[in-house]
Amino acid sequence: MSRIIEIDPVTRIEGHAKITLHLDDNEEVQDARLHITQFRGFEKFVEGRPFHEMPSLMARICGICPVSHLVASAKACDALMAVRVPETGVLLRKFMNLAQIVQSHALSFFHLSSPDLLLGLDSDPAKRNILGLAAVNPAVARDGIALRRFGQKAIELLGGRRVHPAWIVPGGVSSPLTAENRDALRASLPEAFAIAERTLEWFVPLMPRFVEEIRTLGQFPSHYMAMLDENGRWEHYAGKLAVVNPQGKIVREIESARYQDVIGEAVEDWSYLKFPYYKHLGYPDGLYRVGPLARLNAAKGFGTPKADHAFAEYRKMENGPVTSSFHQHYGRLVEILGALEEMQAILDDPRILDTRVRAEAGANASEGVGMSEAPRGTLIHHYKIDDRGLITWANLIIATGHNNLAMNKGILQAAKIYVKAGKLQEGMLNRVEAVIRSYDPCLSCSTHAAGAMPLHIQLVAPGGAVLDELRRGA
Amino acid sequence: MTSVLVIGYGNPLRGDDGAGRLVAGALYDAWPESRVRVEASHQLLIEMAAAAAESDFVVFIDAARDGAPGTVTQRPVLPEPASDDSLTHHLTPETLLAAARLWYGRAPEAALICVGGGDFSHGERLSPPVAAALPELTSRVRALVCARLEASHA
Repeated sequence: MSRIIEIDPVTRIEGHAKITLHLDDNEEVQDARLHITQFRGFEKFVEGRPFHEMPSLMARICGICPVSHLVASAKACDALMAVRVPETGVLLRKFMNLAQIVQSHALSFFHLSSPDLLLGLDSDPAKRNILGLAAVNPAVARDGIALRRFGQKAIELLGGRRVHPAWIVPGGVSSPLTAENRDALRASLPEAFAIAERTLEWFVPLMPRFVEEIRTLGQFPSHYMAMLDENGRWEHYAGKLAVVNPQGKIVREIESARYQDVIGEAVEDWSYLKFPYYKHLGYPDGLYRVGPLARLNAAKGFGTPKADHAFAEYRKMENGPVTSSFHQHYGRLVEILGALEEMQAILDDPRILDTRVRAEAGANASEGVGMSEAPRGTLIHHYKIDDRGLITWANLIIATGHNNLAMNKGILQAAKIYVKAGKLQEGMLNRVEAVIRSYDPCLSCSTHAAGAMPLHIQLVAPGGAVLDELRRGA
Repeated sequence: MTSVLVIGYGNPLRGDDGAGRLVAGALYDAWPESRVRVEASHQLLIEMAAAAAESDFVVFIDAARDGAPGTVTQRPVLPEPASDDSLTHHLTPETLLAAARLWYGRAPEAALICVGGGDFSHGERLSPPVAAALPELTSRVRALVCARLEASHA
């Protein structure tokens, strides 16, 4: 008799989801599905809006990474206007995107994942949170707070507000950087660097402790996609989209406007999240991954000394692409270091106080694509407009969407190892959740929800009878 | 010298939920002296624990689902850790103070001034009872902050 285990909802992620584990007659896990149960509909309700409103509207998709959407959306609008953004405008946009990457990675690593890493996946779930960290390592919790404050402060100084800044606009940014704010940003960098470096110092030696998690949490070869600069290095704002095969070789490099040459999108009737796939392999075989793991597998390096050193150490873990999704935690720390070095370079650039930061124009093209690297992976905004500049069609491919097939595969892999049909156990189920959490999925982006997220798991027989049940939280 | 942190929070797109944030926004420049810091936020954030630990007194301003719409209440807040494992979306003033004590070794005295909300549905408008209560809500915050500052001078 086959039956289904549900994990509903999944905790410590941004948004709402549930997992169903499908058991076969031998009570072995046969299939696993991550159901995204919230619907947003942004692509549809922006139809008819003037294109220049899009960055502000798109930033409302998410309270965690509004800057990422501002960047991709503004770039799509740049294409519609057919303008070249002034150099200083580009530098300032890059700086804010980097600040966003730092603060989001800090949230993911310190607030959401470090309880698993430092307290253990089998520890008491009531204490397995950032407050519980205080008992074992309050300095780590303080570092997480400080690094996130750094990123948010940088965004606030540039954009005038911490959440949903409207400073990145079509054609550039709305106001230049002042010398006073540049100096304030410079003054805050040393502490951020110190935190990033000492976090790597304590985290990397812990790696042998996670041999089991590395082996079982999303460990499989796959294709990867990430943006690269003209020298094949880590890039988050411009450059081409690279497709990397499981052996680590770049097999395609395309301009952002041609993303549909390599990415197709499928839908399933059990989830609101689309299933993007690599067209060359079809659906569902065209599984690929984006985000820290993919970026660090695609890039030759960062081109900055501290990050390049950390990157070299990271890549030593495997003779080829790093394949375990668990390593995305490590990857985020390397990326934080790289982001801080690029932020330093931007602040040292003599052009940074130039007041020419925005190109003005109306609509000069009917279609525009904007691509950038968000903390969780490649972000694509694609708009079409009519003669009046009103949106007629919009397509958004969000990092969490790119990783949808990979998250489902990772859950199945972990469930096959850890979930047996006997009594449901907390730690076992948290391992399945940990696979998802390693991708730091933002379901608000990909399809926001407020409130506590209790865990409810049900073992359901085909007739609908609840055979076993586990609850935690409210 | 006493330092005071005022945090008004709530979602301005959910009717009366935005009342606390609205009041904090109106009080931004009320105390030019650096001893009072005012924050208007969509929600309480865990990183506010650091700012709380640096303060001697924290005033939280919020809208509540319980209580008659437009009724202003005030109560002390004591540190108390959250009982669930999700701290990214739903954070209480009690948990914020607990975080300040756990991480920085110091939880300030604090008070919560609340207005009872009547309409938390989508929209930027406050319900009439809450809109009418804003002057009282604002003056209660002003009075509390001024009392703390004067006490430190005494």
